Amino acid sequence: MSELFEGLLRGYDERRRAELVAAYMAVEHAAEPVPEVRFPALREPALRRTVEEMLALSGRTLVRSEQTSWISGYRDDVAAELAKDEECVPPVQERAVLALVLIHSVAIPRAAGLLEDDSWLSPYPTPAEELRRRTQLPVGELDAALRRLRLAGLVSQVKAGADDSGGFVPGPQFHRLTPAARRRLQEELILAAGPDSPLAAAIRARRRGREREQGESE
Amino acid sequence: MSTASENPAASLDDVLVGEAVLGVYRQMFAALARDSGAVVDDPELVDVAETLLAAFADAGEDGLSREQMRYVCRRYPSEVFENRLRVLKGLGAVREVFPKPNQLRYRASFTSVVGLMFVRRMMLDGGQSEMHRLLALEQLNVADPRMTPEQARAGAEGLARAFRLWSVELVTLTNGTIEELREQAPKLWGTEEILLRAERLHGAILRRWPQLDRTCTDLRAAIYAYGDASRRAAARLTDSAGTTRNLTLLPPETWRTFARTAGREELAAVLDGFVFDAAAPWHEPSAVVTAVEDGPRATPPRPAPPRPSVPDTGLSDDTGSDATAMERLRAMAEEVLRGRDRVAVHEVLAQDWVTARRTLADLSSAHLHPELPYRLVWSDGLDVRPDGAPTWVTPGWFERT
Amino acid sequence: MDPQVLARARARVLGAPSVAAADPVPAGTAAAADGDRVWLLPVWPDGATPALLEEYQTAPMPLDRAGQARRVLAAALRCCWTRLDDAPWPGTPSTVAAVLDVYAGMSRGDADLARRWATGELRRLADTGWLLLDEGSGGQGGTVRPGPRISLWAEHTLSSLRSLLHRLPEPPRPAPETHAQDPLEAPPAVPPPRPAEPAEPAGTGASVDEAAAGEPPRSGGERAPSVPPVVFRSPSVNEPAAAPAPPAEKSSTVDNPVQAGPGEARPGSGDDPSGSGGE
Repeated sequence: MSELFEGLLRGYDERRRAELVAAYMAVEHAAEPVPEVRFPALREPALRRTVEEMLALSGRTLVRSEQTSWISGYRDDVAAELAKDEECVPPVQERAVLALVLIHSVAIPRAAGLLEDDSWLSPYPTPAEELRRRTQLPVGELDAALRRLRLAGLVSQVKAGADDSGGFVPGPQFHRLTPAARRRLQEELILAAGPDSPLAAAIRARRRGREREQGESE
Repeated sequence: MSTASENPAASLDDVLVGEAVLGVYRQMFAALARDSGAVVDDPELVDVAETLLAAFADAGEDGLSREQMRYVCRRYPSEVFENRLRVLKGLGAVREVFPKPNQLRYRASFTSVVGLMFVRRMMLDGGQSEMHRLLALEQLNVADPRMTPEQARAGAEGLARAFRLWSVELVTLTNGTIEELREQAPKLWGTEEILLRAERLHGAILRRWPQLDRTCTDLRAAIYAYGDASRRAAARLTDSAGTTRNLTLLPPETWRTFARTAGREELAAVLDGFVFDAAAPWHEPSAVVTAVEDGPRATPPRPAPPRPSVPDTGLSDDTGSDATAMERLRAMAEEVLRGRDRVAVHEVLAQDWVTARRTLADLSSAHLHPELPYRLVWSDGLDVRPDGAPTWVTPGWFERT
Repeated sequence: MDPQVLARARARVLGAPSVAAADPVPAGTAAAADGDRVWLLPVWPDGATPALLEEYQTAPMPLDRAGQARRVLAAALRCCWTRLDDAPWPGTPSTVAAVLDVYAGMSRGDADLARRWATGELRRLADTGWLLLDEGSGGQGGTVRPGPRISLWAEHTLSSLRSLLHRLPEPPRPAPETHAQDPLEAPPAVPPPRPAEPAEPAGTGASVDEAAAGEPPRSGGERAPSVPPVVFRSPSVNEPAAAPAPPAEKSSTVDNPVQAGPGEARPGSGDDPSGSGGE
């Protein structure tokens, strides 16, 4: 299937070509961001540009993590376009459960000052009990939704430890959000949980302003 | 901006208008309780403070120089002024700032304004013991038939001053460091609800006392300025948001309440418009071969047994030879199985946890013993039984092989 | 936005979506033909697959119970890859019951337990494009076939798998109706093995236990594309059957040079004699 990539890879010698292919496959399929020390094609800016172009062929892009690691995600414009199609978005039950895991594992520890990391990964599991007993979700749907979320890598299960009951945390897919997607997720959570706060008002105002700008420029 | 004794761990009470106000009241309560002698009994102190604070509100971010403060309080004798200023500084109501090098200015802390209003009302009403709702209380007063226009005016003016001082604080924070803004602004800024109530209060005052239209206009302007300052502070924070940093701007209780009360659609809406990869594991042919060749029983690899599973208890006094140990395990296994070929683990463990733990350890030993024909097989998952012992159970079977 | 870019991204979001064979296949997509449908697959440079990650000590997305999944996949291939000289895709349909039997034969210990596990695993493999599962049709627990991702296997990686499959337990004789014209299978003499009933649940509760065969069968609520709704017709249309292999093989893929003809070693780059090649 190199016809697709041939144009981009053609100019390189065998070794470089292999490095590009390796870097491309790594960022597309790895569980976690890939350290650039291991992949010359991610370290060298010119090669990395080519990797970015290879990714762009499928609507993907590089996502940087902690300065020197890389992984891939959907380009923002492509994601926005695909999200309009209901088939491309996870079903309601799964999204609802996932939102709860984000709240319990990230938002609450963050707000309580327990989570220093500025990311969506968290060591604080959302207990199954919390999802079962203390939400408005129908319990019957819960297990199937969790199963599918785990299969898709959106949620990971943490087994019970000595001092906690275990539960669920956001899964490795959350490494693959672009900066804009991360920010939007944060905003959506704030809009949902605190619609009344000045922060929500500021977010809404900013979005209105942006829409107006886009409308004017079209 | 606020005094050092501000309590950042004050929890949110949904009944109150805002976290900021509650924190402020509690702080002033404490301060007044401590210094009630110094403050309450001295109406002159209150007068000087009020005069100064009115001036501070008008001065804005730059604050006042010493000379300006003295001038504003010129009708008080110098000694009184100095004394009162010293007490106010001690209470944290007035503090020094250095907007430019070699330039000493003073600014007021908004907490003191609220405290002073409280004090004033206490003095006027002779003993109102609690003021836990600034705006609601004002609202009640407006409805109170005994309230006079003068009292209403004073109240409205005080409220306006409070809003103006909060605005000044917010503007200052907005122009300061992001960290301080993120930490302090949520204590100060007004939610839609506060602003709405303030506007309603303003309307109520104006309706009842149309002659106070000038005061009310000032109040209205102050409310708007406060709303504006709140929004600007929030806007600066949204601009600077990291990935999850802004999540700290809602208190944990707000998140928890939302999680517990939001319906499925509301929760799902958070992830509207996000796409993710489909599950797409890769099974390389050689990996398939390895899996078949290496899978000893081709049954699922055992997940970690539930904790604690320390196969050490209860066996320590069993120092016999291996044959003895093996026989003991065999006897135990047969007893557990009771003639059946397999038994569910949770049935076996339906005892007090100490005994159950020992039994589980023995089952594991029987399973691991190479010469004994038993097997302990776990399935995936974790089931919770809050009133059982243990309170979690991973479904499993102990069986004869 | 380039519609082909969008189509490739969409294929990753949906897994292995299918389009009607009549529709144009987006250029630059790998496709696996399947009767009246075509499955859209990811496109990788220079014949690379995710197995490459292992060479660079990079872990792929984690999968619970990967070993079990692969063993069940092996059992399924034992039943569905009837002519080992051919490519495994598209393979031959088999009954779920037959696959479960093979799997139970591969496992020690309780056969019912093994079947329960395997049923869950078949569904997971179907959800991820490695099998095509239709639990409602043909009795015997349904029908199963290799899934479109199988077509991504490079021919030169298959030899060890072929020899393994020889050594797996033989699938039971099928019932007469479903494999009428298949010359490989002798006329059935024994009644089909007992179907895989969902028996008592394996544990105390169904919590997050994937083995619980009490799961409702897949229906339209899931992401439909990876599980075809009664998509395949009688085997004679799809399988190479008695026809000589090469033409059937070539027609089974549109664009993917990795999809080898029988026995050929394919070069990694794009000189595919059968493919259209153009974008």
